[in-house]
Order: sequence, then structure tokens, then C-alpha cells
Amino acid sequence: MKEDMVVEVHNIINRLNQKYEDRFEFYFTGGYARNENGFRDYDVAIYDTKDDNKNWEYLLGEFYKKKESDGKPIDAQISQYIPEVMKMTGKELYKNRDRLVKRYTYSDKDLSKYNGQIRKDWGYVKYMNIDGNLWEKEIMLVKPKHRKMGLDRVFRIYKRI
Amino acid sequence: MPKQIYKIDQFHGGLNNNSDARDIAENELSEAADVMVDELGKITMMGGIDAQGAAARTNQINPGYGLFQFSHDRVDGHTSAAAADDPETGADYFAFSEPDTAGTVDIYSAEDTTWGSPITGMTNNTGGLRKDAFYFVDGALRISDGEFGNTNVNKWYGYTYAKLFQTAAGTPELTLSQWSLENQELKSFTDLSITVDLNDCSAASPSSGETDVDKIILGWWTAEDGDWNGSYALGVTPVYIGGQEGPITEAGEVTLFNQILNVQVFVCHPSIQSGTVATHPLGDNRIIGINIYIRSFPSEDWYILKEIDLKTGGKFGWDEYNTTESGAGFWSGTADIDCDSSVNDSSGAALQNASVCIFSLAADTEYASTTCVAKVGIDAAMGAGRVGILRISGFVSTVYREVDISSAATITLSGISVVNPSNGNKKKFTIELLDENYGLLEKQIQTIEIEVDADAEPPPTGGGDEDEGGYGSGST
Repeated sequence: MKEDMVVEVHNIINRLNQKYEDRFEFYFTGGYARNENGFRDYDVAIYDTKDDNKNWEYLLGEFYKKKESDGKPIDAQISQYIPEVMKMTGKELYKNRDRLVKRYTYSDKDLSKYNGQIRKDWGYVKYMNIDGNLWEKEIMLVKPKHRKMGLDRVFRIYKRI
Repeated sequence: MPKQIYKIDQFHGGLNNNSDARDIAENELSEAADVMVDELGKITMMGGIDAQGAAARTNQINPGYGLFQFSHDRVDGHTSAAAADDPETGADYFAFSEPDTAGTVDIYSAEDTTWGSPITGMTNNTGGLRKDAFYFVDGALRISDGEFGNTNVNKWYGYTYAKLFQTAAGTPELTLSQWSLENQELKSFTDLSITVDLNDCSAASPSSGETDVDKIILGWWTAEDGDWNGSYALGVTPVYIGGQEGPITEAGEVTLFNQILNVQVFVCHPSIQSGTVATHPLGDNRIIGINIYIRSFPSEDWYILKEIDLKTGGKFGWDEYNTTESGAGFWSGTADIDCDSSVNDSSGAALQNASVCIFSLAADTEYASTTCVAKVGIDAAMGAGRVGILRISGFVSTVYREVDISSAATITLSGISVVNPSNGNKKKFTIELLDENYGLLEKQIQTIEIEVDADAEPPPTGGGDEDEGGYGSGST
């Protein structure tokens, strides 16, 4: 566990847990969860047990443009596929790597300018505004950059916060 | 003057035979016989009387105290037996106190027309006969002795249902489905006579001399490249049904130097009986979780470190542990892999006697898009279903591969696509074998000479390696 430095993430989550009780599950994923040296940001994956996007904009907005105590940004996204993906073995993830999945993110910028564009390191990404600053991002389960790293053959790590 | 209508439709103030009839409130009654006003706006007949069918109960009575009615989804509340698995067809109950030193509260079940004495232990009469007060909420009966000269503690009597210590396949080691009598207070593990110990599991899991009945062991070990630095105290709390916690019991202290802290929880039980653990090992049937807390010296503030679910455990569920397995699950490499000449260093020698390594490289020129072969030598099986991750850093991108570490073997991982780094006589590559939580099992620094290629160009640099691009912008 490397919880010592992640003060801000815990503070935000504590506040959200007080507001929403046990509704949302929070996980570390990405380079930080993989204990990589030189990870770039703190990826926080969120699962809504009620699957109701009514409060998602507020929830994600709480993380928006926030930085951890070491100055690295916090990147929070809601991914309703987490329970399914966290059970996948490396082989199962590989079989599903082309599957299009949806993540939800917060931005006060117009993300749709990339709508339908082929992007070098994502392969495919499509943004759609849901409401206000809440955006839906449709992407492949494993992006090409991570395939080159072999992460399409390794079970995905989600560390419960 | 024409007649006017004065409407009276509220009666819930009930009978008031204290004040004069002209002085009572509008919603009160000056007389009432055989009627009920418990529903707002209604006066209903009280109903008849019926024989309750039970044998008479001879109890001492403290007048004004000790009788209470409740209903419950579970039947057989007048008895309490382990693994009873009582049906949810519903029953009505009377609670009837025996307020003397017998110390019981008897329960009558209308469904079985039978009395029982499942609530015991309220035996103290120092201040006189008990004055039991009852409270029923969330499906459980609470009994408190209102005679404060007595030393009786409050009791909790309810139905406990939980499938505890489920394996990865979902099979519980202990299924609780019974009426349970507990002290109402949410106690700490210390108060429940449960010992909490820290155990350094760096080299071995707890031994037979370290495990014991009524004991929780927090096994801990460290890994490199962490952020923990200093002395820390670890503590645990019991988590009861409804998410309420007892006080913290301190387990002990650990000192860390820029390390990662791993903690594994062992809940001791007097015997290993696969699938048939008969009693709750933590002394209270209401306990369904353990919270682990940490405190950094000299601070007095505790922070929650991890919530342990006694039902489902973590990603891999709960597993039985026998102290005969204290050496199992610890990494041991073969240290016998001699690498191919294609990965020679500048002195013309390849790495020898390795447990993890880049065994060969198809092309050794700078920025070549090529493939490598990696090998992992496992000297002792890590356990059924165990999966490791091989991480190789030093190429243009870090690469990952899954490794089956469940059996002793030398695993060859072929055809790993890589892009070589820039040229150098002593380019350093880091090969790490990681466990399921990305904790380090084995680390090898390997030096390989990468040749010059005058025509080669470095690959374009992309964004970060993370899943996302920062603030959800997708701008990687």
C-alpha cells in the first residue's frame, strides 16, 4: 500500500462518502496502482452501485483540476464496467480488448472536437456531452499504447480506496 | 342564527380523564371504552380477546415493567440454536422478564405457542428487582435494566445471518443463520477477549506457536520503492452489522524506510474444519468486518488503512491457512538461468545464474523494433491459481507479461515486442517479477550493450503511460 502521499484523494473521497454513503466505489488504477516509477497522475476509477448519472457531474467535479500532495494531478472517471473487468484474467482481457466501453469524465472544455477522430494512441475515442460539464467518452477497453506495453495480456489492477 | 358545522376528525390525543371534559384538547377524549385511536383520524374497535394457547408462565413480576410485544420475520425466536436457519415466515412474540437473580427474559412465540428463555445473564439484583425497558428496532430487541443500582449490561437479541469467510468460489467457511444474544455494547476486540498481534511475515507466515484461539494476526511485510517512511502503529476495529464500529485495539508498531507496506489478515480458529467452522471466531455474531487503522508517530490521529470484509474478503476471497503451510507462497527463484550471447554486456559476457532476465534479444541495435525472450525461474510453487507479472523497463516502453507462478518451472516468454533504447555500452534494464498486487517478488538489473545504428531515429514520444490523459481530457 502506498497511501501515505495520497492525502487529497482521500480527503475528497471522505467528503463524497459522507454525502453519498456507500453508493460509490473508488479504486486506484493505472500507473500508480501498478507501482510504476514516474507515474504521471493518480487515476481514480469510480463505480456507481446505483448506475444513475444524476449526481455524476457533481461527483467528478469534486476531483476536477485537483492535485495530490506531490503536485501530480488527480484524474477521476466513472467506469460502470469495473466489476466485470476486475474479474477478467489476462486472457479474458485480451479477448475483450477491442470492445468499446464508456467512461464518464468532467471537463469545462468542449471535448467533442475530437468527436470520431482517429487518435494515434487511443485508436478510437468519441466524446458526447451528457449534461453541463459531464462527458461520455467511448473508447476501446485497451488502447493501442497499452497494447504495445502488453497490458492487454495482464489482468487490470483496481485497488479499492 | 343558522346552524354551523364544527368538524372533529382528530382523536389521537387519547383518553384524558384528568382534566375536566370542557378543558380537554380538541383531539382528546373524555371517555373511551373498548376503542383504539392509534391511527390518525380513526376510532376503531379494540377487538376481542382470545386464548393465547400457551401454558401459564410463573414469573416473578416487578409491577409496571417487564412485558413487551414484538413481531419478527424469523420464527423460533423463543429458542436460540447455532445454524438453526429459521424460516422467514414471521411470528409474533412476547418478551416477559424474570426480574430476579434468575436473570432471564422469557420469550413466548405465538407461532409455536411455546415459552423459551433465550435471553440470559441479567442476574444482578443489587439494587432490587430489574426494571427492564425494551426497545425493538432494525429487527433486534434491546433490553436495558432501569434499576440503576444493578450492574446488568444491556442486551441485544436478534437474528444474525451472514456467510462469512467466503472463498474465491463463493463458498462460506461459516454460515451464521440463527437467533443470537449479545451484549448491546459495540466492544473493541480487547473487550471481546480477542488478541490482536502484528507478525512479521517477511520470511514466513505465522507458525503454530504464533496462532491461537481468539486471535487476529496482522501479517506484514514490505516492498521497495514505497512512500512509507517512519514509525507507524497499526490498529483494528470490529465492524458490526449496520456498519457500526467498535473502538480501536492497537496491534503493534512497524518502522518503514521508503517502503511499501503489505498487510495480510489471519483470523485464528481453534481447528481447521473445511466448510464447517461452527462458531464465530471473533466472539460476537454481529461482527462482519475488520477495519485496519494506522497512526504515524508521534501523531495521535488514526487513519483508516483498509476495510476487511469478513464475508467476501478481497479480490481473491478468503482461504484456509494451516501453519504447516507457513513457508508456502514465498518467492524462491532458481538462480540458474544463463542468458544468451545476444544480451551480452560491453565486456562480452551475458548475465549468469539469474532467476528473472531478458534471455535474448533478436536485434541489439538502437531504436530497433524487435522482440525479446524473457525467462522466469520458479524454484518453489507459489500456490494454486497464483499469477505473477513480469515488468521489463529500459526499452522505449515498459512492457508487461503475465506469468503462471503456481508451479515450480522455468517459464519462457517469447516474442515480446520491444523498441530498443539509444545506444550504449552499458544500457541498464530492470526486470521485475511482481505479485497480484504489483508487489515486488524479484528484481534483476541487467546490463546489455546496445549497438549504434547511424540510420536509426528515435521513435516519437507519446503521452504518459497512464490510462487517462489528465483531468479526463483524453489528451494523451
